[in-house]
Amino acid sequence: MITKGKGTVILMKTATHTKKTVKVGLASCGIAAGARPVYDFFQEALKNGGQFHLLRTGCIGMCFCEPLVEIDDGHGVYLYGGIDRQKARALLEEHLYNGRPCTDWLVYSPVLPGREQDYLDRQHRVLLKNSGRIDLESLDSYIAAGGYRGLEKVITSLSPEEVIAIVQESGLRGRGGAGFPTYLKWQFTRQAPGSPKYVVCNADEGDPGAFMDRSLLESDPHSVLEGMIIAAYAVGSNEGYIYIRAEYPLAIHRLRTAIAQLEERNYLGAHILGSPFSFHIRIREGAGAFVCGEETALLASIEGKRGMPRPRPPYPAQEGLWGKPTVINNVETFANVARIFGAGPEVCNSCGTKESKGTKVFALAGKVKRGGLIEVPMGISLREIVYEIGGGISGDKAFKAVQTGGPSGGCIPARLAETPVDYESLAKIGAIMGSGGLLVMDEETCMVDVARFFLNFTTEESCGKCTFCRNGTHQMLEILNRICRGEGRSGDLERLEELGKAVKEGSLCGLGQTAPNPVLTTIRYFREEYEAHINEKRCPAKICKDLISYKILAEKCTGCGLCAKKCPVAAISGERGRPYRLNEKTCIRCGICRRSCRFDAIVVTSGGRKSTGRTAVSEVRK
Amino acid sequence: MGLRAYCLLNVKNNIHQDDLRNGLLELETIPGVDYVEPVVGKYDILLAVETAGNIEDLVAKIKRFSWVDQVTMLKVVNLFDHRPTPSGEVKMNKEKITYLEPGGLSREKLDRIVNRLEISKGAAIPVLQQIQNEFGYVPPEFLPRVSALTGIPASELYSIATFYSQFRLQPIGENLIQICHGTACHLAGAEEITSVLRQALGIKNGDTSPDGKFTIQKVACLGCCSLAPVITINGETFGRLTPDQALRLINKVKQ
Repeated sequence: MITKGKGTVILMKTATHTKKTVKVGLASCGIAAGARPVYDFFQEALKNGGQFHLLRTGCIGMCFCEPLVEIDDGHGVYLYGGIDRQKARALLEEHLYNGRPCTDWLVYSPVLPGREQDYLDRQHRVLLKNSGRIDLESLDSYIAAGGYRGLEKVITSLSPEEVIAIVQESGLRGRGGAGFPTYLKWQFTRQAPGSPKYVVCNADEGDPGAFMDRSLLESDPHSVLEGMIIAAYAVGSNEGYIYIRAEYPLAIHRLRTAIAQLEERNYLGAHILGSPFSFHIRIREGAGAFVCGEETALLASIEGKRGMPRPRPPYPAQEGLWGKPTVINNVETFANVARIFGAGPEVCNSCGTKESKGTKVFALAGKVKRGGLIEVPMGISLREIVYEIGGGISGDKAFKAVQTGGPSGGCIPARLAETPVDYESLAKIGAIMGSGGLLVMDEETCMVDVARFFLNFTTEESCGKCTFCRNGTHQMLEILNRICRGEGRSGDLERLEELGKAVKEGSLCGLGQTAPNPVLTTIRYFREEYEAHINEKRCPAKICKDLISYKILAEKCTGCGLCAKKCPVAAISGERGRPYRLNEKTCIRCGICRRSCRFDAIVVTSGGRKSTGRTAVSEVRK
Repeated sequence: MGLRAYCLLNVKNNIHQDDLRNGLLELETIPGVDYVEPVVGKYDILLAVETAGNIEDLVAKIKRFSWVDQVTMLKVVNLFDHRPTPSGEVKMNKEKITYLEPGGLSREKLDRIVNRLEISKGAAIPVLQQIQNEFGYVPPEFLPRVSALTGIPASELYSIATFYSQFRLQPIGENLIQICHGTACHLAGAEEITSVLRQALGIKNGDTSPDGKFTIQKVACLGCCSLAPVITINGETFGRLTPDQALRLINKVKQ
């Protein structure tokens, strides 16, 4: 798929057009949504004499309407969403055999307008051009899409210095979040004395709410590998490691398959493509430590130690893995490298802003209508992402905030939605670009709870080396827990700000230096919400369990008894035909009753000290 | 020095923290005791001893402490050839010493797993991952054996096993439920699902149900944020769940 003009997407033509093609998206999210039975159905149909090609592809990014099936009938390409076995049968009979596209489930097509046409049209897909397009376990499919041509060019006609110069020209900055110029890292490593040198791919995507790397590795592993091999050539390395989360078994499996294919075809191994250059890649599975996303901690983990960061300098470029010069880049950075050499540095520097070139992949999730994997040019505004690509807030509720950068990032309020997405603009308002998690929050999201959630995460994941990170985050969490329980005191916010500043300054690595960001930005932009918790013991979003209570409205309750049947703790009782009652003391506030009620007779209230059973009791004791 | 042995101690439940600390120091003063390490899991203290003489006497000395509840001999290694002596060669009084027989766990299997792997630099994590894959958890009593086979100090193995959240030092239930606690899942109600499932499975303390059938594990992001909230049951992923649907899934597994 190439981008034509601004945003128009041309779907890649399949190699042979004599036969029709069916593609089923089989990335993790597709499988979770039920893509396997759909694939199995087409496979059975094929066995029974079906006349079509069947391909397994990765994630096209439209996670909100998985499972996805794409049909190329020789006249046009049609992407269908929300397909189950039954619908697959209809597609087979109606579209493939009778030639009548089923417009009801059509989400995207260059031929007919699909339901979600603008989701893809608004994007600028460079890195994701293969995702969901090529057969994911076939090297030939990647090569047919233009893959490894860049590597061939590099090995046969460019010197390592020229390679680094091209990366410099592209303006590529590290996509892991910090935005360090990639060419500089490579240059430092190349010039550093010592051998052997190592190339490490950081695929330890630990940010909760981010899945760009998983999707890229599952859907297009060869792009990442090609970028790694080019990097190795540029810095003069013969050995590389991919450090990947063990939580991504499918991505690991596909990487292993891809590496085996490359070794067989001599794109990897000794004397690559007949040149003097040799390179080997090993996979190291992470063991579940968020801090290992930090480069020095990651290297320690590859060395088989506890993943604890160390002071820099020396930087990994001078003293990295086993004390040797090491280039360490993120998955997306390597994929960018493959594109730069496949299509020229202009794919990266022709869009974006002056300081932040190229495109960025985001994992759009949260309370948004169309969540998924998107790729946009840098400098696009948050509003465009949320409304024009994401389709607005789900349930048409009010847009409240966007969270970028996961536990290291900040919450950006809706009123700053025009902020352009680039490294500098986001840093200015207290957030960070991060690796690409973009979480949308609506009016039903409690910002204090969000801050507490992230801090709880960083407190658990702190490796414990620096006192401020280990104890400071803990103290901050205690205060937030208190506030959420309705025991906040005046002065708490000031203390949080003071502690936050200290943790930022007193920590060695990125984890501690950024851990207070979610708290500090929510205090900065949503102070009134904190004050409601502290002063009025009220949770405006009605989320904090100790500050809310469920009530049955007697005038609306028909006495059907469904809620009582569903309640897992038997907190609801009553007589059929009469309004039911809810016992607040046994209620665990899971919300099952409210969701099951067909008459909107169950409401959540928050406000006033006496609203919750627990607070009321403690008040009496006082 | 001829023999090296590892003992695992259980201390009495009512012992005070300070007494335990003093006790550890006292243990270290016994001649022949190489190192003493408090451990977590089925046992409380790991003890490495090296002796030229009779191990039985040494164990008797240890048993004399009032706060020691039980002594478990793990293994005896002949230091000259670094291979475990067949248990028949070391005579021990079976009444005083319990031999380690972790429920159905085979040490031969452990040896096979470790020997299968290429022990290169930085192998500690892959070795532990393999052990967990096979046994479902990393039995702490295996660590000295792994150490002997790989040359990685047991203390280092233990420090790694306790640092990374992937490693479990206790066995898990028959069915493993992972509840994603990523941001998207949190916003979509992962907490509610957790509390409902814990309630339904009767899990009050810890993560495993009293009948040993289910273990609930809280995991960081599984990367299926668009399908939030997500749980996996025995490796199979289910998305867009309500607490109600999660309950139904569990009930299906129960049957």
